[in-house]
Amino acid sequence: MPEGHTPAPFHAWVWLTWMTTILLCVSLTRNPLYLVVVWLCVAIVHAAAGMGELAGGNAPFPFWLSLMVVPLGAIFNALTVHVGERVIFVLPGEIPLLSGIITWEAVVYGATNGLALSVILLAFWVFNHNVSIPSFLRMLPRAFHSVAIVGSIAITFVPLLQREVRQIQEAQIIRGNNLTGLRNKLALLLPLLVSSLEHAFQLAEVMTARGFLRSSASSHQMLWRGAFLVGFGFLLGGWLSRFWGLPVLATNFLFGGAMTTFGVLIYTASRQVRTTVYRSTAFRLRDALAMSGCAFLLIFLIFQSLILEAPFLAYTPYPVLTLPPFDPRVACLFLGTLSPLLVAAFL
Amino acid sequence: MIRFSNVSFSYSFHQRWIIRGANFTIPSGSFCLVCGASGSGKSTLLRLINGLVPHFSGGILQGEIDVNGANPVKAGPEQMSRQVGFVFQDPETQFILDCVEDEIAFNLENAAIPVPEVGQRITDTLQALGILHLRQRRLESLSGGEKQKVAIATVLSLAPSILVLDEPTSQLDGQSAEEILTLIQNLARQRNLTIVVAEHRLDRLLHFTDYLVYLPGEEKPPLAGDTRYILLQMDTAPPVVQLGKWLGVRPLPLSVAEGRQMLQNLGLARLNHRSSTSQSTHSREEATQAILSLENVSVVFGKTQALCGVSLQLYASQILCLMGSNGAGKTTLLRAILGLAPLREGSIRLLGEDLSTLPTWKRARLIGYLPQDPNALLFSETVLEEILLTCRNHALPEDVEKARSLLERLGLATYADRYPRDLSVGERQRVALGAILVPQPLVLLLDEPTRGLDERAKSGLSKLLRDFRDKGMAILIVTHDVEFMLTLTDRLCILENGRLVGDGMPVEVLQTLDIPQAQVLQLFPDQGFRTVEEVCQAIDEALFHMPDRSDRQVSLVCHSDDNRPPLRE
Repeated sequence: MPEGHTPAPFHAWVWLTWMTTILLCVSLTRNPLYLVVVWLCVAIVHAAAGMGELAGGNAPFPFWLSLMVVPLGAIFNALTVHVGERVIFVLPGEIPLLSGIITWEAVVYGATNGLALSVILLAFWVFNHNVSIPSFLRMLPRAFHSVAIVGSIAITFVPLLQREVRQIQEAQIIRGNNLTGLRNKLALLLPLLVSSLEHAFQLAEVMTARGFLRSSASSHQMLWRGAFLVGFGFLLGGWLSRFWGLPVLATNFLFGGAMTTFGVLIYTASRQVRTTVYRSTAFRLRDALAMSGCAFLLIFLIFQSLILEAPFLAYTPYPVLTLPPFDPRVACLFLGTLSPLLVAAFL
Repeated sequence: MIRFSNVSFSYSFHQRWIIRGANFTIPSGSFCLVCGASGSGKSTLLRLINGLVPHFSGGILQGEIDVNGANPVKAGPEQMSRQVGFVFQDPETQFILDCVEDEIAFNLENAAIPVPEVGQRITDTLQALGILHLRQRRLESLSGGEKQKVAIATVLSLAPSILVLDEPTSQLDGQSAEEILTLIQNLARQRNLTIVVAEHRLDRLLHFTDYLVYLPGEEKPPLAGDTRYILLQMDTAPPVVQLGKWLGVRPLPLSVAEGRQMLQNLGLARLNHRSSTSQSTHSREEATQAILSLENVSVVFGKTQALCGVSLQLYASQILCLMGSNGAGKTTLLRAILGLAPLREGSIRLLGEDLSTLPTWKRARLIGYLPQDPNALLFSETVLEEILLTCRNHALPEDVEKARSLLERLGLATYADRYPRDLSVGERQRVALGAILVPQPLVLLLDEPTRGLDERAKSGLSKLLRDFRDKGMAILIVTHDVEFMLTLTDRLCILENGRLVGDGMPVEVLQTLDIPQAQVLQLFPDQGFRTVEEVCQAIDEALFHMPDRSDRQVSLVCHSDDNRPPLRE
């Protein structure tokens, strides 16, 4: 076991399922009450991870920072979307984008979006905290060399970015920039962008030189292209049938066909790239139990919201702000995202 | 075997050939050094061997490259990775994972090496490099030398037949560099590896080298062949070689040992040195007030004592060099002076004023600091804009004429409208230097200013710094480059484990401490020579007094085959 590491309490697939479930939850609903429930679940898991309950001890992502996006979202949306009936005040003049009515509907919708973003920030911290880089890289589809490289760059990017920010701040101070005021702080952005791109380029070059996901002789190229076209045809058909208002079953059949074709394509292509796993992690009973809570919720949401298109999560504050619906049974479903914490506590 | 047949290459964004008419064969099992000025195409040449160029960079390629029977252009870098292990300049940017074992295993997993073999290969490779104890260590906790060894282990684990290294010692102190190079040479012998290294520091590598590729730049074809033969045609060389050339000795000496033998054979082992620069500056220092004064400075990071009770004075018109091994605390000292590293104890005074209450951005007006990577200081669209940006930051008038005159002094007048990051390493460094010199600081702090510089750029920098010194500036330089230090300074301080363990005249300090010496000092211990020019002058005088001047023609019995033609096709 590498120094400074604690054994991962769960298999990486558990966290991937958990993360996918959270992302699906926040993308399916803009009901602020349900989002608060999801936020609380993620915050509890996040706090447990930060305290070392789930994995060892990095400083947790500060709650206040994640919650900052809620008022920011509300202000931004209120200033830029002038729709709704409950007017708070009118911003006079002819300032492009900003002038016009400021409504409670826009404030609520913006805050709800901010809350969704806050959930995503916390959830990503938990995922990053619990999944080691090798485990993450192994989960990437081997078939797509460029996707894998981009994924690797993304995951090694955060620590590099932190280092870059520090370096550029120092460099600005050395050049006499006191870094107070928005204009001075903005001076960090361009160098950060340039150096980040340079690092991304270097890493991509390194991974290529090290033969990352070198594919064996590519056979069946024509077959793959054909299968890709079939999948794309299914996808296009699904969109068109939804656009034309064809029966839900037909639309879902076409989308299902696209998903299956792409899935088979990825699986087959990945098998062409041979790799081995030096330090494999066994998938244990506790992993299955922790995964089941999230998986159940995930399947339920896919089935109800995407296949049957049941409107139980739907809510919008426009055009008139109303109290969002709240069904305690639906709220309880979201507690499935607590399953890793519950399993870690009791097993 | 690596064969280049009439190879020319140009990047699509360049309007000239970066490599032109390369026509040579690097024999299997040889230790090949690729050298040349900055921008002469060394890194490009290395990348042509594994196909990164042109696959990754694009560009126009002519001619044929054959690497052990494979064509890297057709095979691509992924396929070539099994044959060619490539170690990049900065080990930190090439690590993907966070633990030594995982990092090496990652390569082997991607090559689909069977799992039982992976563990064995990791053990064997780490053992061969003498770093088995680092197996479970986190990469961030390793020293520069250890990181470089891990980077080499990562590529060696795939058992390539060719190992390519791009400036592997540029960030290392002399001792670590020697250790790494010896290790590489031993591995090459054990595993019959072909080694190809690009490096500026010829003094560190020549004695390992048996094949030399020199890239003269300016679209001239590379010279390649036997090391001694190619050295004769190069205009830059380490001191030992320069001396051999000047004395007309054949075969040329490559190492200090061969140089000593040469001097002994010529009867020049002891010379009279009438130094004009050896006058101590301490008397001058005592007479003047220190510009910068450090009293009992201590810095602690977590549980690590980075600096421990360092006291130091820096005077006007003085260049002080600070040396020490990697991790000794040299950079921390510079950062502490600027307020970037908090002091646990002690004080730092500038012209008698305590700096503790002055924030870094205000100190920057009085103390210029050039970090190791000059890129870090470059933000603007043009070179001229860089200078004006500092003016704005310090609320100084944006005087374009003054800015142009500063660029003129730095030799950058013709680059005023160029994008700074497009310039060569040496030019970028001068732009960064210009950016910090705008407020005319009293003190200049430079961290490893010769890193990545070729001899010409180094000599330009040296001249510039002497000019600043003559105008009254106090300069503190952190460097591993002993030769550069000797040409520049009259005071040397040594820092080890955060403590100041030496302070005085460079030659005296170097002789009392066990740190890598300059070649001239090793050739003439206790005789006070610092540069080849001083030695040549003394030899001239000695020869003038010799009864029989034909003694100069004494031949050496070092190697007998250096007069063969170069291995060019």
